[in-house]
Amino acid sequence: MIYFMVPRKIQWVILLAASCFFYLCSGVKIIFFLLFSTATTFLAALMLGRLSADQKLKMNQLSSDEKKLVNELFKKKKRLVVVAALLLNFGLLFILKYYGFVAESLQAALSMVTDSFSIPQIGILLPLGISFYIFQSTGYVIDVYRGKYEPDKNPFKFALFVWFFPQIVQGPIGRHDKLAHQLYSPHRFDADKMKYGLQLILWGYFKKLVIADRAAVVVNQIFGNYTDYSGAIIFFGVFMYSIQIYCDFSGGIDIARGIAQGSGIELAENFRRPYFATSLSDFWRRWHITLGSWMRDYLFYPISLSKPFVKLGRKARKRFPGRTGKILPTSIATFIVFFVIGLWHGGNWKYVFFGLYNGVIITFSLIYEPTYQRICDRLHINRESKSWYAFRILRTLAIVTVGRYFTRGNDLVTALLMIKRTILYFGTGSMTAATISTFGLSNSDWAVLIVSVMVMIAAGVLEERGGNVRVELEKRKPILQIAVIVIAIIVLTAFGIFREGYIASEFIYRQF
Amino acid sequence: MSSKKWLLAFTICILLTAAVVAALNWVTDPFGVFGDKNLNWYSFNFTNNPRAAKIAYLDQHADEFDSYLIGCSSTSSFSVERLNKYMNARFYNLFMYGADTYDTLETARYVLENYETRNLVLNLSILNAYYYNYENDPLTDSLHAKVDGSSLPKFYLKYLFANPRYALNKVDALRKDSYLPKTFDVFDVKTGSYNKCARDIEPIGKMPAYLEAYPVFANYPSASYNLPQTENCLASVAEIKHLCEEKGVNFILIFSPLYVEHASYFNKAEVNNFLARLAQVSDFWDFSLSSVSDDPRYFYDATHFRNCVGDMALARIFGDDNTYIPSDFGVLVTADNAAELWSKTRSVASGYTAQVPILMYHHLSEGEASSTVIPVKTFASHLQALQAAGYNTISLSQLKSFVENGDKLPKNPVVITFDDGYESNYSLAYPLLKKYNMKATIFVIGSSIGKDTYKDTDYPITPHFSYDQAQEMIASGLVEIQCHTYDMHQWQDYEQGVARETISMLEGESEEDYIAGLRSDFEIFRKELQTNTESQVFAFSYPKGEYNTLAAVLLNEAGITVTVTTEPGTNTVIKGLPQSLLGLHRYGVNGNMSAAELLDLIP
Repeated sequence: MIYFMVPRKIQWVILLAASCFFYLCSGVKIIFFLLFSTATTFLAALMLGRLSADQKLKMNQLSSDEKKLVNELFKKKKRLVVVAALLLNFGLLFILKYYGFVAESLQAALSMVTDSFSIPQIGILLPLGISFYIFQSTGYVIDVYRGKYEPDKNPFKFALFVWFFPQIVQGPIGRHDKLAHQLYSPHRFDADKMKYGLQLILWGYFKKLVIADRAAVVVNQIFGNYTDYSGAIIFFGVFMYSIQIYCDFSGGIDIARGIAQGSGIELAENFRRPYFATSLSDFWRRWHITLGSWMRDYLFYPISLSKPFVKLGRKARKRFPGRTGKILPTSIATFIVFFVIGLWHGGNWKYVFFGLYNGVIITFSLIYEPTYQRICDRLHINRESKSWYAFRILRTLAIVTVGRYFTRGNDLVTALLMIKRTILYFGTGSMTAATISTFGLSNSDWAVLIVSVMVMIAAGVLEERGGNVRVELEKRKPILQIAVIVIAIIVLTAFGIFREGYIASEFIYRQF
Repeated sequence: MSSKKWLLAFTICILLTAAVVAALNWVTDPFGVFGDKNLNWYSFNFTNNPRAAKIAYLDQHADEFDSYLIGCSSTSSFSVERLNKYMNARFYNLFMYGADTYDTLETARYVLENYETRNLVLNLSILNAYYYNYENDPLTDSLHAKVDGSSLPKFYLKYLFANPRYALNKVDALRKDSYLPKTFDVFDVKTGSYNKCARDIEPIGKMPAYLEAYPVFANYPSASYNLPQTENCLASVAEIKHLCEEKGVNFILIFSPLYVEHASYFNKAEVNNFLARLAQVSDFWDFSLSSVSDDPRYFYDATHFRNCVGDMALARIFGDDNTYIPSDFGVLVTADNAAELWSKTRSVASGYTAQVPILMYHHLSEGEASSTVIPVKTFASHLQALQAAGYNTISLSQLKSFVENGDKLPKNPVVITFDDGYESNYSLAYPLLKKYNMKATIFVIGSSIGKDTYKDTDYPITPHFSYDQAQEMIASGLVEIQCHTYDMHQWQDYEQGVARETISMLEGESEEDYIAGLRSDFEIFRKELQTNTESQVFAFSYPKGEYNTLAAVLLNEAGITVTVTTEPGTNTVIKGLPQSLLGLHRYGVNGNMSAAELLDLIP
């Protein structure tokens, strides 16, 4: 509200102040990391900007021979700056997030050889949302390096870009060219946007508090005591986790986007109904979109367009004529990307495995696509039919669910043991009322959960068909619209905040 | 509808919801902070947040008390009644579960400043040196704003707009409330202690059974935690002591009994250091490790000792000779004797348990045997065989005083009991008991004493002995007459409506009626027996061996400390553990059982 009351020129200052306040509330130590990352990327971009300006200036004065030389020089300098900025930031991330993991793994490897050497362990708590803002600010540096846009001159405005509070906990990872000018420019109060924002926030809280926090009870019980349950139930638990993680993450994003939208700022879309994806690669285009596109722009393309890769591509095409040769370099790049995505989730072998699992499946589906099509033709499967479409969605859902064993299992070994149990001791008959009662949800909670998930699926189907829930709602009579508000608020107050007490529910993705 | 109207509607809805939530929280007051005028259910409020609710309660009731017990949850086991008796005071148990010494200090400060106080008893547990100022949840763990000095308006707003689930739970719980404590009302408001009535009547006997019932003892994890909050804890204790001295309040410091495995959860050197430092701060009664620590049956769970252990501790502090106290249990530690005390090695306790078989007879006859009718000759042979085999019959009083006062039992004790109170017990069994100088307990049905017809009818039944005959037997010192209900062991054949064959609740009977019925039945029995024989009722034989927790609790409240069932088995009775006298097993003696078979039956 204050935001709309202050003079338009300093609206952005209010946003910055709010962001600072938000961060101060979550701990003073954290600020240090945030400042570090903001300062390094801001300065790096500034230097890159200055270098580019110098470069242009010099170019005008030089002959063409010298131009080439100077160009090279500037290129080197710029590369140095960008590499330094990336190293500093990812180095920090590495130390905070992966040092323990790498040290442990090295130690384990070393212990096979010698016992006398020990790698020191450090214990630092992961600062709030660190990987999100590091990705956001490094993306900015790379864009400036590529000359996509000019660097930001005002450190405070830049700070707002990195610190903008709705997105800082778990994204979406914003792009400077899309987000920054929105943040700086003045906004008038807009009832439509405020309404949309509030609706999005309600929807987000509904997913988070009503669905995710309920599903979490079941998930924690099954994952915590998986040896007590049959394979079918473990699979059910993993499936519930799929629901939980989606509602948790996308709910949080909706809340963030809703808050921003209320003040007239559009944050990037992060989810597009991922569980309606028809293939795993389609899934990754719909799930955590901003991370995926970050990886695409700053990792996948640079790798596949890099010199060694282009060479490799040529060689591959010679060695394996036909499809395999064409696909090989892309596959390797995909592999690397998923390896990094896996690692991004945290320093643990289970995440590495998770990344590789996705990489393998996507690569194989690329390689065997023709075979696959031939099989379909043989079986006379109509690939336009609805049932084929449904099958593809379910198949993708199954593949994604299997991947969740790794992200949610305590560690790699546990995840593999759980998969083993799922396969060897499937025992479908074990889903009795008595077993269900051990999950920790009362009958009424189950009812709330099931109805809520169905509401969510219905909304998903509508949107998947090109509809829009908001627009549909707006068409209805006022009394119905008010009824929806009343129902939403009652549902949230009565069934939300599921855990006893007022423990602010933690979002799962903030840890990543 | 335009967006502006939508926003208006939305705002109104939000405000209305807030108003409804506030009204709900105000009316039901699930934390008691608003005085709980409507429901006045502080047992529930204490359970939600003992810190805030107990202060809110005492603000209304402080004039009823002049002394306070304070500490974490194990403090609950120190009986307010005993303290009142020993110190001629009016104690309130102001313990707060999970309390750390920050909570304790601030609460003590508030009490000393605002309530008239004569005595303050502070109980410490080992965990107090482990946690300090630890708050998990702002609604359920927070201190009252009056106590920790935080903003009062904020405090009240927090509870006014608390999650409505608490309020709804309270309304729901109101519907589910029963005589026995449920998980939502674990406190006894009058004393401030936990209402442990249900756990205090659970029969306890052999160790394996207890470990099976409470696996936490059997699978206790091993660890060696440090005590990082030693300094904070000691400073708080010193401050409480100082505050008491300033106000001239009598201060007693107790260190809780610890289950041995729980004690070993912490680094031994740190524990010793903590206790040594504590002795520098104040004299204190140390109950931490003793023979009690070694036996899990003295503990509700790994971190909570039983009420009976609290009784022993208080008896030690106040020199009460009428209560059993293990010799190594509890010592007053001062700065001077601390080092010497802890250099001693702990002794292993023995002889505090006894194996006691109980035999169950019914009717005797001079004729044929049946499952419940024992030929008098067989009975005589049983007595001879028991005596020859070195068994000593004891009365239930003796068993009781073994447990309660630690009195000695003869070797190879055995208890003989008769159910129902048949005349044959007097005419046939009693002469034999006299002849061999052996003891027995007869459980009589009050309504059939002296009768040979069924109650007020003409239906003939096996004759029952009279009060005069009972009195004669009691006077011999060999026989005790105890309770088999007044009229809750009816015969369906002779009753008009639904007969009450056991003390179980009847179908469709309300809890209220059941409680009233059971109480009055026992009260009639007690009065009649006392009037006619002057003997006190302390033992109860459950008709058909059937009972339930509620019945056991009600009987316990009425003064029954020994109960017997029809389940066969030998009993392990344990000194200082009254629960070991409950639900005692009995070997049913068959009319066709030879003396040799009887001896085979009992160990």
